[in-house]
Amino acid sequence: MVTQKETEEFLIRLAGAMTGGLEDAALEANYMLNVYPGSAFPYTSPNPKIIPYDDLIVGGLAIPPWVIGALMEKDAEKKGDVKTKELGKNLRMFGEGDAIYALNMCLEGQIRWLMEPRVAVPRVGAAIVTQSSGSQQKTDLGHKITKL
Amino acid sequence: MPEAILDKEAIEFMTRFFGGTASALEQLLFEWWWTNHPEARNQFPYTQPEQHLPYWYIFIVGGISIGEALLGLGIEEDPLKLMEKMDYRAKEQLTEFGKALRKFGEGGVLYSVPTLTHRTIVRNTPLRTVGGSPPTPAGQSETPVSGRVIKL
Repeated sequence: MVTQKETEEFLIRLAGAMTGGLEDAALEANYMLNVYPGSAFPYTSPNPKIIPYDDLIVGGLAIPPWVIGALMEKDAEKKGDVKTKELGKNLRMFGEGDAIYALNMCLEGQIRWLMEPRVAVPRVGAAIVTQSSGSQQKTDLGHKITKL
Repeated sequence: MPEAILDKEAIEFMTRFFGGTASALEQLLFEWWWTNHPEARNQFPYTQPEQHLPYWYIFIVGGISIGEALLGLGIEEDPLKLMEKMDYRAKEQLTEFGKALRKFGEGGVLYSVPTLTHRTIVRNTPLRTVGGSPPTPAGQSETPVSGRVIKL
């Protein structure tokens, strides 16, 4: 039987997830409105094989409410403060919702990023064909040294 | 907090999280199909219900997770009293399964609803021309859009 409490908990989690979605949308809208393509932080990547910083920031922002809420809840339980415990629990659930959206968004983005044809996968002993944004193709004769 | 409750909460979180992951992978599957099958482009589900809304496949992903959550809720609540003839143990197990399925679906909803909102906002954001020319002031003729800036 789904209780009123469970419904409220789901709505708190959904609010957390929506916050993550709106943070993501705000960063992307800013990119589309103001930033020259691929030029500035946070629209750059830490590594060509990793998604841009803006997605990582959205993922990272989900963690603090989750951790702070859990710590608040634990601390309030020791002190016997019911009100703070409830607040901590709600904050933790908000962070959980945000984490469910943001971490899965990062995962989905990362897989898609690696599936992109412009990302060349280096292979030992084979020529690497990189596909730039245009139709040009160039052969990179660099080799990856692997330690066996 | 007793350890038993912590474990239960951790399992519930993981169930919801993997529900979200399942939705993310479904979305990825649709996008992979679109990338690798050019003949499928501009055909359902890669069309939009309305020009301001995202593609149908985003709605389908959301619909699947809502379906999972509702199916789980149906099994858990059993409004048609289909489980009345079952023995107590089987009924209990099925109710637990329904509860887990509802949470799995909830996780999917927690991923797909914000994704739908995010895609709708991005779709309705005015586009900047490639090359980064500043927005044209009102009343002046606009610079022709040479391409759409899509951040993947």
